[in-house]
Amino acid sequence: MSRARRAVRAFLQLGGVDAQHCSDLEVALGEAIGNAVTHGYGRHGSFSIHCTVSQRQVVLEVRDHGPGYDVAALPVAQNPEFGMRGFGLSMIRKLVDDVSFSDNGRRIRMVLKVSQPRSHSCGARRLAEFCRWVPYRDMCYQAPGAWGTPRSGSPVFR
Amino acid sequence: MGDPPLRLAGFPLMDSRSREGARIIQLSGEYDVERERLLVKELAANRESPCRLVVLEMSEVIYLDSIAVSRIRAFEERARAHGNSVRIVATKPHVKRILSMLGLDSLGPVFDSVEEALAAGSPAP
Repeated sequence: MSRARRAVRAFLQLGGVDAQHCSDLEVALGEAIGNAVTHGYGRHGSFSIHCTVSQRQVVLEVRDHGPGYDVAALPVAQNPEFGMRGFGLSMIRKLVDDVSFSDNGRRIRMVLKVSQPRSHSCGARRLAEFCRWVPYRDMCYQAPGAWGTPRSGSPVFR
Repeated sequence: MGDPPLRLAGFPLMDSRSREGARIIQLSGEYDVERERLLVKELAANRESPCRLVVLEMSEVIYLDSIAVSRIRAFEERARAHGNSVRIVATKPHVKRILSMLGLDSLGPVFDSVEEALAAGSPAP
């Protein structure tokens, strides 16, 4: 999980996203993954990350491969019913400009507007290289495109 | 000098020690859903500390998520219920920001060093 965050952070940095936005997106990503683990696939599943940096925004998507869950039933921050939990989604909403769920909660899409990114294709290529360097068998990068069954060596984080 | 640090076997992430009558719990590294159990274990181990003051030293924490913060909040509430105080030390701006966003700074000031936290006065009896 931490390697997934670091990989995305490296991707964002290579894409020219400033440090503050990188930090915000890393935290939002961590919360999204935490939601996937807690409410989706559990601790023994996998998830994929799709990140696109364009001139004006960063789109970050996390998709888990679990059975899905009812997003409306997610704990709400400071709701006594859930005690101390439920801060994750509200934190994501504070950090990014737009959040949406689809595929029965298996996919979360976060959009953050940015101002000075460079070409994202360079960053994507370098991230792919970066991920190949990492001696972590489940770590890889999914090139921009439609979701699908990851190819061998493609990006699934466990 | 305080007691030598206690270290969880296999997890060089946390230390806890006593100093000037306070319990210092040192957290470092990353705390996310994967390490939630480790955090809970360490906090639980210090739950029954006879010290009236517990300092969570988080200067070396580089990442923590809302679950970790919620565990810290729960620890602080339990300590307060037993008449103890918890003070937080954090120096990294993005960690401070997370603490602030999740309202942990509402429990009291976030200190820049253990010395500052200890010098802030004894907890009210």
